[in-house]
Amino acid sequence: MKKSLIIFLTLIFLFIFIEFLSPYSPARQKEQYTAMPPSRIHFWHEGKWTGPFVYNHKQQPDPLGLFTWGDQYKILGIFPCNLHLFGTKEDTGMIAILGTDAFGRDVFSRLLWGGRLSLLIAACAALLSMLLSFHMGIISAMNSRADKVVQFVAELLKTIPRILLILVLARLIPPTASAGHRALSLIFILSSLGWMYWAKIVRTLAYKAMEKEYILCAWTQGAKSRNIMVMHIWPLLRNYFSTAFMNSLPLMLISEAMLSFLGVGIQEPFVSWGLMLNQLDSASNLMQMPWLVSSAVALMCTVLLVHHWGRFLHTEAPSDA
Amino acid sequence: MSVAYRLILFFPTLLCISVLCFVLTDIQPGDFLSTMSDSVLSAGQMKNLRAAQGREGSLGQRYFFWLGNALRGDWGMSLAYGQKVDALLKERLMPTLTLSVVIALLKWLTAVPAALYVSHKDKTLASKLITFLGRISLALPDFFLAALILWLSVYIPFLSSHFFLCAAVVGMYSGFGQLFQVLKSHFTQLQSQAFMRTLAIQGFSRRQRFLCLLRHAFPVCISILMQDLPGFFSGAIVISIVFNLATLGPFFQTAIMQQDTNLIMAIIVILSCLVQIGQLIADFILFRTTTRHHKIL
Repeated sequence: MKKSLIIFLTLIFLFIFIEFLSPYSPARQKEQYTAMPPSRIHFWHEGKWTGPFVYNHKQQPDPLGLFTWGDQYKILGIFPCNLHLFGTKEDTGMIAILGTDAFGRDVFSRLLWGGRLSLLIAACAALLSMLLSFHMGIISAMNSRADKVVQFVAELLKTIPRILLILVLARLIPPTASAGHRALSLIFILSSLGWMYWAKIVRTLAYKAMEKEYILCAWTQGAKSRNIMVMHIWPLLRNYFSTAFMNSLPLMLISEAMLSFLGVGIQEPFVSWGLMLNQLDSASNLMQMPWLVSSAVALMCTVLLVHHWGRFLHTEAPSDA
Repeated sequence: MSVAYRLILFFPTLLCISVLCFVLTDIQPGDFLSTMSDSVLSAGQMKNLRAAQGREGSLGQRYFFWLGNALRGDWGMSLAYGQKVDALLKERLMPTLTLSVVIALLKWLTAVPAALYVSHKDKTLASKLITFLGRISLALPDFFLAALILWLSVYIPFLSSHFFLCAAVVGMYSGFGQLFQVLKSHFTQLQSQAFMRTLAIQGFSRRQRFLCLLRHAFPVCISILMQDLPGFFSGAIVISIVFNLATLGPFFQTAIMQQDTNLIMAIIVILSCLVQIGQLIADFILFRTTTRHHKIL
């Protein structure tokens, strides 16, 4: 549990300070530096030690520094600040660890910002869909009439090919929607189509849990079903929640990336990993700027990590219930 | 769910799907005609066209206009393509089905032996490699793999002349991971059950035990196939949107972008209908195999 907590806190820390860690704002375009390969950091200029620097577009050395002043941003959307962890000391130069795209925007900064939005959407969608599926699953285990309705709706939603329904729903977002509105809509869309698969498993687990004597006892003594659900069944199923969450997170990440890739998800000027892949839309782009693949690599690594972490949680979780 | 229950619910489910999708496409702001500029059509023409398309009146009236026509076999005009929807469907439905079936076949033909092998011998190098491949396939999104192949095809002429094959392989690879994971866990469970251990103690040969495992793995596979069926078309559709193959995928994307309600509805209803038929068949097979299986025991 300690390991999970550390990872979780690190993630929260990263989420808050991502603007500080990224050297530029993701929309910042530098015309002199379009399609620039990852910058090389030099230390010697004409045989003389000058400390770390990069060459700017005029082939002049531009010294690098820690804690430099750059683009304005707001921490948590409240406190204005323009301090960045690293960057060039003069604004004429550019340090792009992962190169720049065709508009002269820093890929590394975009990767960080995009990762935050992608992960945030995926995590919220996974959380919401898990809450929904546990609720539906437990209710349908406890009430046979509700069970029929829930099963029918789940079958209905499962029968329509998922991608078609997602595209229809994503079109409902008005084109003029703000980023927050768009992200929130995506969360609702993804979670409303993700709960059916787990609801069935939760239903079976809840059936098994309800065979326990003390729950039967509570039933016969006339306890309210809501109380039984919250106080007796939920604690037994709680351990599965994290496993289910970690299992649905990769699916949500990939779904969001797919929507943005197809052009109906997150849109400019905001960034997500799927949208970054969308900009890599031709073979010549791929050959000229292979560093743009970094968002796909980041997506893959995240999914692999989440799977790994999910298995870790699965083995850690006590296996009663 | 039993076969009879599914048969009874067949048409109500389709009806509910059509209502749901009609409402969802209808409440989108604007319609196809409003995306055209005023210079193309006068207000009077627009009104006449709307009336002819059943776009006048309340939501209920519009839905029943559509439903009435659809029940008589008239799916209406596709405004985005300027053709009858049936003609478009006739041309594209078969390739969609073919691609989906090919993907499913390839996926199952690779995942079942792989899962059997890994559950049988889990310590060998080959089984570790297969597990690793499965994990990568879970992490690599199908649309990105498809896009990558599409981009590379500019340099490799073989790829550009065999997009259908590429799509099938991409679909197979991206479906493999999920299926392999599920099958593996089920087969491993089967291996550790009492009857398998009893066979080993009673001195049955490895081959006989393997045959017994195969016999018991069959119903498991069918029930997993049932869970897998809803995603039957999804993979093929996403991949064919990226490759721009002649299937329903690119049609659906265009229809969504241009709010072509008739085409959207026809595609959704037909594909959902096919999924339901598939589930019915799988249910029936499961029903037959499990009863016989119980008779044997």
